[in-house]
Amino acid sequence: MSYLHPGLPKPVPAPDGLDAPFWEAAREGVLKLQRCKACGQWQWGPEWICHNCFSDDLEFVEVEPRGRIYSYERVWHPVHPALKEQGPYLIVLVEFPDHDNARIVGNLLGDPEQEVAIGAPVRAVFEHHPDDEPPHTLVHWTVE
Amino acid sequence: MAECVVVFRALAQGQFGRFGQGPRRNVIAGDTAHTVPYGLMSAGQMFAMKVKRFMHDHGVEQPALRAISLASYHHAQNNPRAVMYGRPLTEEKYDNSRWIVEPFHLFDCCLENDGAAAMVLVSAERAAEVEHAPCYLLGAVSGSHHRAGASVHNAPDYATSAFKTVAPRLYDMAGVGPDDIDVLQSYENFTGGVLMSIVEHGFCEPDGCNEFFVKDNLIAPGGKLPTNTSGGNLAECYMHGLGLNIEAVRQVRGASTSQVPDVDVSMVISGPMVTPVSCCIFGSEATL
Ligand SMILES: [Zn+2]
Repeated sequence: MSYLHPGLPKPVPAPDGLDAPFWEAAREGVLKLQRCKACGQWQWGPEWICHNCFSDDLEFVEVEPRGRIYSYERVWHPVHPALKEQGPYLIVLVEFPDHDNARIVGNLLGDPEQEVAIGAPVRAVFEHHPDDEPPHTLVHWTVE
Repeated sequence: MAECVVVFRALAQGQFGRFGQGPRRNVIAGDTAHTVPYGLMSAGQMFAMKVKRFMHDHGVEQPALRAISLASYHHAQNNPRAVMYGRPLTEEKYDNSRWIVEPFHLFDCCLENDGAAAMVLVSAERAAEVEHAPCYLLGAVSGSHHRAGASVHNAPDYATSAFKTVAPRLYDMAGVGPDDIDVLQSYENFTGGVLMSIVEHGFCEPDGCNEFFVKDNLIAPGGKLPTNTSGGNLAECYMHGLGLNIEAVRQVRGASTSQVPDVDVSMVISGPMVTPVSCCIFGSEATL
């Protein structure tokens, strides 16, 4: 599959700014996850406090944009008008074994009817929309 | 303290919007900004990923999910109130039905319908005075586990119905165990949730699902664990599970359209794979 058809809601940083560093980095083609400065714990999705030690001193740190498939699903039934002509597409839950198994959601690119193996290594592909309103970038995955 | 409590649920999706549709707007922010733009936005899509992982971890095959749906549709054929009354399901029909989101076929998904349901709760003393046979609540618990609500699918224990810490408390409160349960109503948002719920309430080992989840084990009157005997959310009526509680009471009263003989202990497992979750056990007068 190439990217999903246009028309789905576009991501913008949360009004409180919590995940802004993630989306800003994505626009530069960089993957960042959250890490606790106090105890070093990685976490995702973004939170204001560390779930391990409850420190509120957290940072967003660049990680190698590689992970492995923790789970996946092939969607057939469109629940949004933008996807009416899409056909099947793949959503993957990618985990980062080197970063406390934090997980991120994205699409798996390639043949939408491909066999998907849980545990397979994947790398990130950035889908940039600099001229869109608002400009944004999505983070997808492809099997290595 | 209230002397009489009415618990009700009413649904009017026709007027107020369907549950299974994604958000229609230009931008999205917060936790769902990390899922919706990737086409992950319906309940089925949220839960399929958990079920897929559970099936992977324990070698569960599609016929195990199918058996849950077949049992519900089987029971609905006895129930004139059921939306799917007169519309039986066969293995072939299930296998040939379209995928909604793998591993869920059409028939793995609950109905969407309008309706209403209510229960009346009073003290045991007061219940003795009313005309209907009383049914007693032996236990009811609610809860969750560590970081079960972590955003963007990050719960550490992910492939779960979320009952592992809750089910033992229910049995403890009710003073019964899995072997005492005569009949079960288990909330089917999707069949995969029923499967994990039944495992986590101790009826089946996680690695034994392919053997346990066959239609004959799940149907009244003689199955090992008659489940969703009204047709449930899949085939009777989707009242966000309150219909299941009412069916559990019918079983104790001997008033089900798919009655299990001599029911004393009747269990309800409510909506799985969310947080918090809840479950309860009803009993006949003999259990007091
Ligand atoms: Zn910390």
